[in-house]
Amino acid sequence: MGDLCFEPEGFICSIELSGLGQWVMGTSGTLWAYPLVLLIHGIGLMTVLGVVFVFNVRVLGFASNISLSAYDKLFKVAWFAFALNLLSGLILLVGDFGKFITQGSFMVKMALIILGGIMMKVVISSIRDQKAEGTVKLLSGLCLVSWFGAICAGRLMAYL
Amino acid sequence: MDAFVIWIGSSWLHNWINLSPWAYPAMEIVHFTGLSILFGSLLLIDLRVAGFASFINMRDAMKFIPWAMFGFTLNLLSGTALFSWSPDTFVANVGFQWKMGLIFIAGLNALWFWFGEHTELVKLADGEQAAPAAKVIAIVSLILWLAVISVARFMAFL
Repeated sequence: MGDLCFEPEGFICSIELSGLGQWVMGTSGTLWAYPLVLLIHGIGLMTVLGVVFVFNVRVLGFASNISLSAYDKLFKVAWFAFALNLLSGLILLVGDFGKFITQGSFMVKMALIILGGIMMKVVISSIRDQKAEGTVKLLSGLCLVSWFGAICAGRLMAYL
Repeated sequence: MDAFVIWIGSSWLHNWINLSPWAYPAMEIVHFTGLSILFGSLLLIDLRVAGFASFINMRDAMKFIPWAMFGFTLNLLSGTALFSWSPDTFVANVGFQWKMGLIFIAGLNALWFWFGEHTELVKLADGEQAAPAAKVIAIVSLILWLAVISVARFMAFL
């Protein structure tokens, strides 16, 4: 139960004290829930970031014989991993709701993930529309920066 | 091994990671970044070799090996810095022991891949399936690295 849960009938408490919230935080006795959800979140993040990385270094001109359509299968893997992380992330969020929704690094992380997701779409469509190479590479670089920025912000959530 | 643990526990690295307020989080960020680069590169290579994405040009997939090595090097360096924070704590951690053991096996697997299969694999045409032994190596590699991530994540709880 977080610091911001001081009014049992309040919104933050009702979320943190929900069945799911108590399950993930181990207060209902399931001590393996939190490590398990965190583990899923870790594997999902490495997969999403990994695919984002191998795609963007390709766009930046590396291993350029790999056809961009060959990445479609990897994108499916990345979407699956993203879904895992959305789900595991929501469960972790419920567990310590008051802390996260007021945390600067959490907000930065969410903003960077949304930006990174949009940037992936922008990079893919700018390739499809055959935009100038310089433009595509700039967008791709920004895409990588947003996603790796999200890792930084996410890790800093444990400290700030 | 013991000598290394004792040395690093009183090294400048140990002092830095303990005394600087941002050193530990910064090294963790490098560790996560390096792992993403390593895992993403392996995912591309291993999925190609295992036959799940065989339309990827094999020779080009192999170009991600230097990236995988780069990610691994980042993690070796940042991991050493994190380890120096409190070597005794890590050495005694079951999760850490498993992690090191699994990375060692993954390393042997990578050597087998490089010396046993690499020259044959780069000859594959687009869409052509790799030899069964190479497929086994690729699948074992993915399983091992997922296991490494898993036991590493559990280190914080053991």
